[in-house]
Amino acid sequence: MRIFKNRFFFLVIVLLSFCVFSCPGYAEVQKALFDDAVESARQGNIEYAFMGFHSLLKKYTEACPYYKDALFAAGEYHFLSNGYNDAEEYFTRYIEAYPNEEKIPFALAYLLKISRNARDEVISSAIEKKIIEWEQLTLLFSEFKEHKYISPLYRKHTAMYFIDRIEFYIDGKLFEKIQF
Amino acid sequence: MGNYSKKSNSKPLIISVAVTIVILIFLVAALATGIFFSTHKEVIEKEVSSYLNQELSIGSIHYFPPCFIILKDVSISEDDAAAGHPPLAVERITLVFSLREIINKKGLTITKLYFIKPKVDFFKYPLFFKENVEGIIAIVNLLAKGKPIHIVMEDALLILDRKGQSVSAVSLTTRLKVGAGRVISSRGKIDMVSFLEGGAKKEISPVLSTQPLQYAFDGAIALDGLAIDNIELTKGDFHASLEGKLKQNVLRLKGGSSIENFYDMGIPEPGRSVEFARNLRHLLLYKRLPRKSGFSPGGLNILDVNCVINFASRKIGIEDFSFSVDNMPVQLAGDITFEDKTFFNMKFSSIPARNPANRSRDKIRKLDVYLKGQIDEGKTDCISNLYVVRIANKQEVLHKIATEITGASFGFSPDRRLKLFMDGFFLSSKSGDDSYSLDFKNVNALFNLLNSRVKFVKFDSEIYEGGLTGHAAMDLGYIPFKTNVNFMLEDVNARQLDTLLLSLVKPYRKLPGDLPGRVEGTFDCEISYVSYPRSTVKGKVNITDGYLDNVQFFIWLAEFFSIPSLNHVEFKKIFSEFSVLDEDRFSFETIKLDATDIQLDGFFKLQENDLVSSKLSLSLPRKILAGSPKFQLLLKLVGRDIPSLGFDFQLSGSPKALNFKWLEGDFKKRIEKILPGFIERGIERKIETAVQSIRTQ
Repeated sequence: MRIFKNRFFFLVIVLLSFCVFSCPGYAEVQKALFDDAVESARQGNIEYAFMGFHSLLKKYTEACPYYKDALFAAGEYHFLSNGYNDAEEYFTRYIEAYPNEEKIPFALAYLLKISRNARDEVISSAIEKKIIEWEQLTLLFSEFKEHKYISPLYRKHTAMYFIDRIEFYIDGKLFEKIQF
Repeated sequence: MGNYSKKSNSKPLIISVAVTIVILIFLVAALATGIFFSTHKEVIEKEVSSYLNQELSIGSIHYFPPCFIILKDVSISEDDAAAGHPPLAVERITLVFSLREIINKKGLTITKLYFIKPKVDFFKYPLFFKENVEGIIAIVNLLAKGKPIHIVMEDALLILDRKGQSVSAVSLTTRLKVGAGRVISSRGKIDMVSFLEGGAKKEISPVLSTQPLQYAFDGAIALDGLAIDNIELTKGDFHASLEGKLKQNVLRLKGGSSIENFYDMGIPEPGRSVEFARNLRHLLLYKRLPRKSGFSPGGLNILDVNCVINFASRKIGIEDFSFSVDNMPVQLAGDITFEDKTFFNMKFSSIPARNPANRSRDKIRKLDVYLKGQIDEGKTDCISNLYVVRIANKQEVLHKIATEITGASFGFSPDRRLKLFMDGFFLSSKSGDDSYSLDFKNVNALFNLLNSRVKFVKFDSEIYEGGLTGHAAMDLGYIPFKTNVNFMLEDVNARQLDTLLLSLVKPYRKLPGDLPGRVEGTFDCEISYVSYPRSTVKGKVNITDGYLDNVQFFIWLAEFFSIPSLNHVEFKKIFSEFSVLDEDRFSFETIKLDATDIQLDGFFKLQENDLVSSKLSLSLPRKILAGSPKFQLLLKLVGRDIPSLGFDFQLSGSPKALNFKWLEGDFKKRIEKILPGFIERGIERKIETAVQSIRTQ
């Protein structure tokens, strides 16, 4: 009886180990989900890409290394779909969760666009100021400083900081401009 | 026939004899009365003095038939009265008495009293003193013996101030009737006047306006005081109506007043809708009040006047004097004591934010003024504290302004303007953490108060080794008042003023750090300020032969260029044209600094959102740059033929982290020719890192 018990426990342990080591890990699942979504975006299928990012946001927390990009992508998707309220919510969550993230100015640019469309001067003013204060320029020999970012939805974002203005471009087209 | 002609001849003879006898009787009576008065003048003086409890003197007493007694040069004298200026003097008093009463042996009963040109010194003989008022009433009662009496005063003067021959006074012409049943009624006019005393021809000129204040008074003498049925005051568009009583030395009055067309004067300003204000008032309950209350649509209304004043011996206590001005409550309380000097202690309170017509951005929630001082020989010393609670950026801010005035005196100029002189005027202001003070000496101010709505003042004084001149206008038709001020300062010590100037420029405090900087030099400026439609200050400033020590901009410059000597800059001249809008946005439209070690030219503005916009041209001598580790290499590259290097640069962004761009210039072109691109980028990154490190400190 005792031998039977020991063997039983041994088998359970072996079976569990097999399950653990043979199934894919959380990290790999997250990566797979993210890569899948990015690939869909690269192929132009942004709805399917959004489903993937949305699934990541639903299943995981900020501990997930892809959560940040998923937030940005969700905000970007809703913006492109004219869901400005949802876009505002996702970009705001992005800024609050990752206040030191170097892509914050791009998220702020979306929020600026939304507030200007809504003709909310007070909020627009506050966002402009935040974008301006984000970067301190020292232009000795250059005319501007440039930052580039390819978003999870595979859109090329560029921010150009001049001494008296900031210009945001998406896929080569002027998206927003701040003059000061 | 003979008898008839005898009779007809004797009749005219009898009549002429009778008339002659009557005339002789009158002449004898007049002569006798005249002699009587002359011989008993001192007795009369003594008797009247006892009623007044003061030393009375009469120049001469004359009797004119049938019923006139004339007293000339009547005066109240004091031991220390200035020569020729007794506290109370009357050129002539005419008493008209009732012949019937004398014939009926009921004694001398006066029916009319004429005072011709009485003069009273307000401070030396306060008429409203209990004992003085009682004495005068006792004499009038004695003369009238309960019968109706008319009292007339012509060109009475209440002297407020004397400076040499120049006299400032309140002029009064009045007719008062005490009728049956002790009913009193009086009509007259009051005005402020100035004149030259002792001159060959006296010219009395009104100083406040071409129209005097007309008054009407109706009341009755009660056992313990006076019942006031009505006091009406009228002057141009100003009307006031009051009623109350004087009982046991306590005066109580209630009523209201208005200035018609007050808000309709002049051209309506943008942002103020007179029509809207008028329509708003039509909706108010006040519209249904009777016209007597004086409510005036389109006018300034002072309603709910409630006044309680206590007249004690040598003291007036204002227990309560409250009213509302266009629904804005105002209250005054305090006391005035008359001893060897006149002392006053007053408090004034208001809650301006309750005014529905208040369109100010910064609403004044509460206003309290405390005033305490003394008046001696026509000069006033006083201290005041003004507390204002303002709403700014949705927060309550307490603002305190304290003033100390020494040797203030008033007078009137020949062209009817109010003159004010002060030996000293010290002002200190504190609002939150900001404070500054100003110290003026020998202040002269000339006010033009003839217009009932817009007041003007011209002023000059000494301040901090220099001089101040300027003028201001205040339109009372706005709440808060619409104000324009223009002034000039010349040869003022800049060190005394730098804290004031820097604290007035509010955004300066948003720059990094405190305000350790000082400015030294001789300061000249021209500044103008308007409060409407927005608070705007514009000016030109010139400082010569001084230095800047740890001024914020040069601290940044010193750190950026790694040249510590820029923390202290000795200069020949600094010139700037500047403006401050809404106390928030300032700009130096022009900056020119001419110093031994540095030349600076350009502009610097702080705009909306507290963002900087600036272009500056900086010239630094080679020897100064050689001390900077950042420039040593560059100096070697550009060669030794340049005695100084020019930097044109542009600044922008947040004052806490300014963006910097080196603009094109001769020096930059030389550098660009020499350095390859990758070295340029390396230098740029290095300097960027250094700048970032300044920001994080």
